[in-house]
Amino acid sequence: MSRDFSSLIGLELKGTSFKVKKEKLVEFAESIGAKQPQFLDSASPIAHPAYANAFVLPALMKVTDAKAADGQPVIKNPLKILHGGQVYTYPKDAPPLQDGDKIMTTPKIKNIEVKSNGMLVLDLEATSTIEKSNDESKIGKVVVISGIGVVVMPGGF
Amino acid sequence: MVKYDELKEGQIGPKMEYGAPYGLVEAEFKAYADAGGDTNPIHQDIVAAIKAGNQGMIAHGLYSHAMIGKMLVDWVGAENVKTYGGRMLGMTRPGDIVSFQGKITKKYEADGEKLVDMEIKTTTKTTYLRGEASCDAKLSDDEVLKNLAKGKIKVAIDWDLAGQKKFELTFDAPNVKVNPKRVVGDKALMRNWIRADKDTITAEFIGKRKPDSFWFAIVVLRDSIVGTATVAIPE
Repeated sequence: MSRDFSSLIGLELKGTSFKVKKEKLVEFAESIGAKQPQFLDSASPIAHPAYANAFVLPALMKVTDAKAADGQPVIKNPLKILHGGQVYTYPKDAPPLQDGDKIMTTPKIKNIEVKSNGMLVLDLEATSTIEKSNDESKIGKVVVISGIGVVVMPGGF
Repeated sequence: MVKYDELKEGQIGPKMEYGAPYGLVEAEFKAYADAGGDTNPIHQDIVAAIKAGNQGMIAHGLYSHAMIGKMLVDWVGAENVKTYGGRMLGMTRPGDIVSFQGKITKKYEADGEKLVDMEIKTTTKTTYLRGEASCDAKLSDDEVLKNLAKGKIKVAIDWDLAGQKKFELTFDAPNVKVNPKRVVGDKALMRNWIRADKDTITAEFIGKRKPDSFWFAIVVLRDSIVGTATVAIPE
């Protein structure tokens, strides 16, 4: 019998907190071959936009906490999870991320359905907000909104 | 500096290639894992990757995704990247070369900014067979490569209880004489890896072709991320 996941649409999952460290900003920029000095300045780097990967991925994994109407976890075998896609949208007034900023990323289930090929497909939207910063004007600002596609293979849910 | 007035719908905007000419190496996957915080062993350890059902180590999907971000930032600057991303369709392995490009689909002005929408395509090139061959010197380069791309691979494996006893690979292509002692293939990639309906199989010369003999590679091109992006073009 197929399981009912419809009650999960709109569900907000527990957020994850992430502290930005300057050493990691530089390391990340170097790992993707970025050459711009603002990403590589060891004293005061800013985050490359792609650094969103570092704090959005842990939030994505929160999907394994979600429970279906039957009280059982939606995803029974996390090894069956595939990362189906990811889209970042940066608000116009998003401040640059710097050392000491603390980001809260909160995912929400936008849609969940079992496709005809037997795969479970979840569409998540995660909002990443600065919750602490040495610069108080940045607190509460959204830095990126992520659309995340999660695919669970048959046998995983 | 990119100029909005010089951009046209339908033209290719930013382009980038990563891993050329020799292919990505495992150390690059590890550097990204350490920096990006995704330390899943399938990206760093060949044994863990195979145990998880892969045919070898694979790159993080978000590694190629991050490279799209790099391409856009290099093109217009970090503050002008509005949105990017897409669907992840294929894996990237050590030895692969990945190319990225944005094709302009729309240019317009909104909220006081000059914006460009793009289709983003990321293609992974995997070399899975190399060899030496000869042919009639009158055949053009294009004819030789087309014939090579029509080639047939045969793999014979004999096993004993102690493990693999013999692995024999042959490759034959029309109008081309392949030296059977100089054909090398990636065994891991021979096993049900190529998706004939989704992948493009093509051939290329390794080095310069002599009129009647040459080294060649058979390569597979596969879309790895397909998506969209919007950027502002700075004044």
